[in-house]
Amino acid sequence: MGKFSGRSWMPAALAAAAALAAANASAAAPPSPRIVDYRIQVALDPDRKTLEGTEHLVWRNPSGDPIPELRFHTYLNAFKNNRTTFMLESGGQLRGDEAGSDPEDWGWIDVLSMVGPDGRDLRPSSRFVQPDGNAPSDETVLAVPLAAPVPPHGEIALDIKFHAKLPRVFARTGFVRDYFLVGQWFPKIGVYEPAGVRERKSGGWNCHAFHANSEFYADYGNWDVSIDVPSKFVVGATGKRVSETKNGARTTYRYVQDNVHDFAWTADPRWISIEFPFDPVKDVRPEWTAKAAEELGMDAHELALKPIACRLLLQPGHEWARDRYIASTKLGIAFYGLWYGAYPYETLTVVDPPDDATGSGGMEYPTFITGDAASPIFDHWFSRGIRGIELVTVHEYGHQYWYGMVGSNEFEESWLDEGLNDDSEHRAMSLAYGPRDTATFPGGIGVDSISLAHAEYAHQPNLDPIRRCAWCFATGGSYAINSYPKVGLFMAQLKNDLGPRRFTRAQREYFRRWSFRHPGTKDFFDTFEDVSGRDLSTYRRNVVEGTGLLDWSVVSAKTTRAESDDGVFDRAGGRVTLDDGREVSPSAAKGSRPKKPKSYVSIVLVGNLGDWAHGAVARLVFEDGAVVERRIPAAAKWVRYRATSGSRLAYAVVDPERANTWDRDRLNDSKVLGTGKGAADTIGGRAAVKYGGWASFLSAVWTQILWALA
Amino acid sequence: MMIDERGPFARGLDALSHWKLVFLLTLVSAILGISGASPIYPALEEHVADTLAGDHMIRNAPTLAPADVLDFVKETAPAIAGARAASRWAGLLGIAIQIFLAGGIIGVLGRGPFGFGQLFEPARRNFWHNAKCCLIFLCALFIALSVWVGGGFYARRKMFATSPPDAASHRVSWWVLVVGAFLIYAVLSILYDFARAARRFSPTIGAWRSFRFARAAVAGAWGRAIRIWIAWFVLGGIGWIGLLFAAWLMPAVSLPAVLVNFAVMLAALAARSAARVGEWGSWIAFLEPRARRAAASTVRIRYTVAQAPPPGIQAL
Repeated sequence: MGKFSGRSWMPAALAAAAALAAANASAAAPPSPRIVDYRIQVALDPDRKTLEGTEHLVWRNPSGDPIPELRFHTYLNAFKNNRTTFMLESGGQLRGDEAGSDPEDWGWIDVLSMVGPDGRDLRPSSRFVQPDGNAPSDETVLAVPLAAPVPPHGEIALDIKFHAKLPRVFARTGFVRDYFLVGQWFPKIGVYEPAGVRERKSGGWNCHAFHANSEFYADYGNWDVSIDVPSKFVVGATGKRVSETKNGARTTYRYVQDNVHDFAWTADPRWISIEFPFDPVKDVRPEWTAKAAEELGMDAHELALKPIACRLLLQPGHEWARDRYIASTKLGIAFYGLWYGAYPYETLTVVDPPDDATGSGGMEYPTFITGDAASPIFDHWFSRGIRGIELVTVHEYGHQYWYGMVGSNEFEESWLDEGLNDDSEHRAMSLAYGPRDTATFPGGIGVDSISLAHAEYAHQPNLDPIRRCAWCFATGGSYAINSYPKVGLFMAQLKNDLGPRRFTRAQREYFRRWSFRHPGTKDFFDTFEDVSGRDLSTYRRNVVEGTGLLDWSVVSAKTTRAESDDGVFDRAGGRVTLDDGREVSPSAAKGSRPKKPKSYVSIVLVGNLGDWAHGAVARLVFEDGAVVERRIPAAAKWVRYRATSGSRLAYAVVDPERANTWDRDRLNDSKVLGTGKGAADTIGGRAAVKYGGWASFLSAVWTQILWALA
Repeated sequence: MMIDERGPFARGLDALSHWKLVFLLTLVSAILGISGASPIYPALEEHVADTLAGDHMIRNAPTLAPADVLDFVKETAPAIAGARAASRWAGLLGIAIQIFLAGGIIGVLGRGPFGFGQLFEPARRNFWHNAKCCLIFLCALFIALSVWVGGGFYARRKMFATSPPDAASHRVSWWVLVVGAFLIYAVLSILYDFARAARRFSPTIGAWRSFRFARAAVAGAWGRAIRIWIAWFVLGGIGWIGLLFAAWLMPAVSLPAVLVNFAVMLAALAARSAARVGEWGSWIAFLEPRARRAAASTVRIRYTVAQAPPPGIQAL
């Protein structure tokens, strides 16, 4: 039975939030304005792969607008048939996984009833809508007209019954055998954005269809979810387990969590449940705290973290990955806590998906993340250095901050969660694993996350800006590049330009200001400009909202003997004969003339082949070891340097420290002229011979492999 | 028994004294490798030798080297594609050269020192025979492996659809598939080698009949033949892969170190070549006592039965 109330709650909540924030300005997480309260009871039928649920929802109007209609996400309908927006856009594939085509592989949700405040069932009058002009048969957004509007800052309660059939896992949610990863599984109300939120001119629902290239956006509140499963199942979920009730062959687990905007859970009889604490005393290295304190300009005690009860749900056969999951979870908690603010929740659940359900891996939900599939192939001496488990665990944990607590809109501004998190993940990984943070291989070679991000950015056509609604990108690849690595590079560029202190302080401030709220691109730049005191409009215009490219290059470099005056000149004092710039007597014997030290003129032309005006450093290195550096002004399209020196130019390089992470092509950043000597020594020629030899060797090895057929 | 068992393998090791053969196979591999990789040389000159990228790469500079390698892969994609295409053709040419040289190798092994003329003459003479044997071998291999692997995967999918990925049934069936495929390859490879070696004992034998010869020669001694095959597979594999990794693990920054690196690469190519020559030596030793019986079994005899004279006609 629903209830309806017109009482205003907003001023009190805001006052409480302000009071708490004022009481502890450095506290990272002010309480959220509670927009929703969910109380859900759900029962899993593992044989039919179905859910039966009841949901009691209280929704509070955050605006001064009367709301005549509610909007709900019914995301499981994305898997209902091959004509949904999600299926049409994705072609039934996501991140390499493919949808099943057997009858039992589809998934859907039926909202059976929705009883409103006056006891009337609103379901018959509700209808599916397509707010993005998407597929007309799409049923992932349900519009529910109300008999009477929800008054400004008022609230409404609804009692909803639903039945859901889970799809076979290929995109985040569903089942494989007896493994269930249950996400986006219940009717979830959309976000009503009041005017002013994320640059909105007027209030309105922000409740998009489920697209192939988008994730989620919801409001904060309190969740109380009871999950009823056969007793053999091990269950993990968002939040804290507060009770476990046996009822014959079934068990009901009750979880509660405040200040979150979603709820996911998993069940599998085969889970190996490993509980481990995050202990700040043991798990935070002193040097990490010292580094964070130095960059943030804070005392170490201000960065104190809290203990967290963590739980790892591991698949049988993946025991080898246990310590790697635990270590990387602790790294994530330490890094994000130190640099942005302490994790405010009591629990964290890490799910290790089975090898035949990798589509459910690498996902984030509040206090609940899924890791990379820990296939035994990564447990060999040659593959152990590939830090996929660590990278994905740190990344998904990072979403507790960028998505979880800072609730940006993943549909419209995916860069604010995936991208910022990409940057944070790079920094966390390099903090723990050094310069080759992503992978190290036998033989000492390896790769770092920034280099990989740059390769992804440089290898893709530059079709879209970073900021764009997720389904508006030219291709799925363009969405991925602009949401993840390009933002990582942009943030690294910003960090290099502002300096690590200003940058990290601005980012911490952004987290503090926007925790449990819905920031947009403008809010990001406003915060960074406030803290750094710099005008960052060029970054927003060219990099985030434009497709500006930067490509400084050494266009040409040459060095020649300096030519002095030679010959007979008529000057004011009379006719003189000059030899290599020195006056000589025409009759003097050639051998008796004193030798002048050699002099060389080196001319270097550097140019920006891109269209984003941004400066760089040019460095000229001479064979005698002399080094000359000049700052190229941001406005310059090209600069020609002319240097006279007693030595030849060995090489010229622009942006030698690689501060311009946005620079598209680094191979054209330098030119080597000679063999080099002393401090200017370069061994590129030897490298070319060596790698030419290796190319030949590999080709020869290939021919010898083919001998197997001969 | 022990002597019989080790005889062909020991004679295979003796065959390594034919260093000219090992040298020839290594040289051919190296030349084909250089030809295959040659489209990438100008790109290396432009982007590695004439920029700081080469410096970064050879020194394995943290963060700089990976970025430069990845940029190199992107910027020189056409050159890399060219090298891959050239290498594919070099590989095919390598197969043809192997088919050619096999005809000579079976002629000269175990018969004392030889000149290249003595090698190339039987090589030329046996080339078409070996080419036809190769075609038969490839067809048989394709059919056998397709049936085994395709059928195996289909059966696995049907039988173990509901079992979890870590179930023993998955692992066991996977290894059965792999070991079975390996044995299929070993069996067909032995028959193929014996069919080519048949020309040493029966210089005019045809391709089909040479496979009958091979089957007859190995009849009753399959276990032994497979053990010898595996011995050379393992020995050659260890030498080849070991040296390949040794080359990989060398930092090789200084000029002498780069030269040593090249020497190790050549040694890896030589190891594979030596294993091939040694294996041929073992097969010759294996076949010699069996060749006469095997060749006899391939002789097709047509009987013409004289008809009895019709009744009433008397012989004159």
